[in-house]
Amino acid sequence: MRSIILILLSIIIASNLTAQTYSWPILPYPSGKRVTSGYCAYRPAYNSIVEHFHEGIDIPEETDPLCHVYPTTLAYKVIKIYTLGPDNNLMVKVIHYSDDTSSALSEGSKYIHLKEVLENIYEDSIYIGDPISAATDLYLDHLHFEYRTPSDLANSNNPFAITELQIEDNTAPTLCSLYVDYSRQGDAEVACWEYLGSNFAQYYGTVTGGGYTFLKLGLPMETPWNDWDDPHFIISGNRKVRFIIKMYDASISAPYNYYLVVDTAIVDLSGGSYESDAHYQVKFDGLLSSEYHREETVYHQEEPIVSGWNSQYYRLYPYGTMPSCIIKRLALATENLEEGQHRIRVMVKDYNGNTKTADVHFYIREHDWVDYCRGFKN
Amino acid sequence: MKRLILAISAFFFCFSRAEVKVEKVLETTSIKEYNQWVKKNRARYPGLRPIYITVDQIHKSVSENDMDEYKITYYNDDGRLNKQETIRGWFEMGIFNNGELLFIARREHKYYPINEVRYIKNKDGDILLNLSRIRSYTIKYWGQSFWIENNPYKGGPTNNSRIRIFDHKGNVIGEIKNAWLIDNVLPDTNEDYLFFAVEEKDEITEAVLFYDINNNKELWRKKFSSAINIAISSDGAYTAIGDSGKIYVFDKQGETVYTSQPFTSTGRNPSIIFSDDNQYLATVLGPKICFYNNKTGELLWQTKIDDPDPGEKFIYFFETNNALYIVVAYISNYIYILDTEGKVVKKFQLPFGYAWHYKKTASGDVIRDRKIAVSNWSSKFYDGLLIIKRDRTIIIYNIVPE
Ligand SMILES: [Zn+2]
Repeated sequence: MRSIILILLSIIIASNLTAQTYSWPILPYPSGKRVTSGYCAYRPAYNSIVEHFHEGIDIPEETDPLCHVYPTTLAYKVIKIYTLGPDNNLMVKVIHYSDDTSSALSEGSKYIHLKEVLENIYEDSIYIGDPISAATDLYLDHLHFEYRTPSDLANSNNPFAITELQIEDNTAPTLCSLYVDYSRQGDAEVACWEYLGSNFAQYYGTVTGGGYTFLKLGLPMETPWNDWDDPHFIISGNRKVRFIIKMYDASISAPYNYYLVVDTAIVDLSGGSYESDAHYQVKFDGLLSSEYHREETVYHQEEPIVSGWNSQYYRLYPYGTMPSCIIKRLALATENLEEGQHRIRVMVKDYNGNTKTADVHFYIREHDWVDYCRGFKN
Repeated sequence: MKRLILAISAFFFCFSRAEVKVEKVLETTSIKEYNQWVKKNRARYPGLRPIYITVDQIHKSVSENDMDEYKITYYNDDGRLNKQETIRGWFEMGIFNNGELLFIARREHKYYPINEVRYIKNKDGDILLNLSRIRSYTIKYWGQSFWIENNPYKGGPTNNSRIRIFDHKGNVIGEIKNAWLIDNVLPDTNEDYLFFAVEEKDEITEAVLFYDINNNKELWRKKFSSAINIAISSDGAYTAIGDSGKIYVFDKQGETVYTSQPFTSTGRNPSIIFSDDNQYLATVLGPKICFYNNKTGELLWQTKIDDPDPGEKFIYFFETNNALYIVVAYISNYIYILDTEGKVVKKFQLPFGYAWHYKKTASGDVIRDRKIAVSNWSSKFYDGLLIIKRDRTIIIYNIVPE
C-alpha cells in the first residue's frame, strides 16, 4: 500500500461584484501593462523594515511620454498624502467611490513612490477622473500600487482580482525546492534513496538555517506520470518530518495566488486520480492587517526557525498562528504513514492558468531494510 | 546663465497705514548669482543662506540591472564650484540643515540593501556621520543637536513601531513609542520641544504629540480621526491643530486654550500659524482666512479672497516696521498680503504660467480638461524676503512697507 502526498497549488480568481469602472493606474502605458514585483512576493528584513509579503504590485514607470498616475476607479476620495522619504517619495491613499460618486465603496488603494502630487489634490476631497500625479517620474522608477479593503483599508488584496488590473502572462511559476525539516522533530533520519542504478544526486543537498540542517531536494520539471526521474529519499528513525516548499512566480507575471494542498490518497503510478481531502491549501488573494507574514512559502505546523535574508528563507510559523492565506491545514504526520513508498505532488498554477508540477517520492522505512517490493507494490 | 533682476511696479491699495510694495529683487537660475546676492546682502538678511549643495540626475536606470547616476555639486559662499562627484546606485537623498548637509542612502539593488551605505555629508562633500550601522531608513528632521529618523515603510507598523531621536554622533537619545509614520514635526525656535503629527501603529488613528527634547519625554498626546495640519509657537508655549474645518489650540500641558470651527468644509484641514509674539493666530482653508486673538481665542475677523483657484498653499506672518501682515499663497500662484484688519494690501502672481490638466473618462481615455497654474514651487520666508524656488529658478521678492 502506498500513499500519495499531493501538494496542489491552484488558484481562485475572486470575482468582482461591484459594477464599477476600473483602469490601470498609470496612463499612458505604451509599453503595455507591466508588473515588476507581484503581490505577496517575499521581502526580507532590511533597515528598520521587518520581513513581509509585498502588499501590492510594482508597476514600472513610463518615460516616453511621462506617465500620469490615476486612481484605478474613476471617482475617489483622497484620505491621506504622506511624505515617505526626505524628498520626492510620496504616498497617496484613496477611498474608491462609485462612478457617479453616490456611494463610497468599502475598498480603496494606495499609490507609493510619487515624486510629486498635483497641487490641487487635497485630502478628504472627492475627485472624478483627476490624476493624483501628472507627467511624473517615480522614485525607484516604479509605482507601488495596493488594492485594499474594507472601508478602513486595513487589509491588502491581490489587485489581479480586478479584471481590468490583470496583465498578460504566459510564464509558468517556478518550483525550486522541497526542504525536509527532520532534525527538529525528533530523531528522524533522511537519506538519498538511490535504487536500480538511478542517480538523484543532482537534486539532493542540505542547507542549514537557524542552526538546523534541512534536506534540500531540487524539483525538476515534472514529466507527467513518469516517477522514475523524480527525487527519492528515505525517512527512517522516528519518521517525523515537516516539509517546506520554495516557489515563485516570474517577476513580470502574475502574483503568488495559489493553493497548497497535501493529499494522502494512495499513489497510483498508472496515473489514477487523487481524491482524498487536502491537507494544506494556501492562497494569496488577501492579507489581513493583523498579519505581518514572515514566510515566503507555507507548509508548517510547528515553532519558527530564525531566518535571515539570502539563503535562509525557511521561517516557519508557530503552530496555531498561521495566517489567513492558509485556508486548510491538517497535520501530515509522516511518522504515522505506512511503511512503503509515498509521493508528494506539487502543483502551482498562477492567475492566468499557467501551471507547473513536480513530484518527490519518499520511502517510509521502519525495518532495517528497504523493501523494494513494498516500494513498487501496486 | 541669464541674469534677470526685475523691479515690479507696485499696485497701491489705499487701506489704512499698512500698504506694502513687493519688489522682485532677484530672478536667476545661476547658483553663483544667487550666492553672491546672498553674500552681498548678508548684513541686511543674516538669516538667508547660500546654496551649498545641488543634486542632479544624469542617468536614469533603464532596467533593474542598471543603476541611477547622480552628479553632486558643492558650492562655496561665492557660488563657485567647490567639489563635484558622480555617484551610481539606487538612492534616497535629502538636503537638510539650511542646505548644508546631504543625506545619502545608496544601495546596489532596487529593493534589497546590497552593499548599502547611509551617511551625512557636509557642504564640503566630506562624510560627517556614517549612519550605516543605524537601522534607520532616512532622516526626517535635522536639528541643532539632534536628528529624527524616518522609517515609514512596510513591514510596519507593528507593536514595536517607534520613532527614535539621535544625537549628531548617531547615539539614540530619545524614543517615542506607539508612533510609526511622521506626518509632520515642528520644533520651537530653541528646539526645546517638538510637536509631532504621527500615524500610530494601526495606521488608522492619527495623533499629535508634544515632546520635550531636553528630558526626552513625551508630555502629551491626542488622537484625531483625520489628517492633521499643525503649528507651534516660536517659544513652544502654544500648539495648534487644524483638523476637519476646526482649529484647536493647546498649551504646553496639553490643556485646551480654545477651539473654533471657522470653516464649513469639515472634510478638509485648515492651515494655521502663530504670530511671533503669540498674540495672534491666522488660519486659512480655501478662500477663507480667519484671524484670532490667540490669548483670548476671539475671532477678530474673517475674510474671503476672490481667487481663481483658491487651494491654499501656505500662510505666513510677516512683521516689518512694527506692522504685522499675513501672507497667503494659492495654487493659482496668486499671493495675497493682508493687514491685521483683514484688508488685502497687495496681490501679485508668480510668473510660472499655466499647463493642461488632464482627466480620465469613464471609458479609460485621457482628455484635456482645463488649464491650471503651474504651482510646483516651494517657498521660504526670511526677514521680509519671500524666496520662491521652482526647478532651477530662484526668485526673491522683497516686501517693503510704504
Ligand atoms: Zn512595491
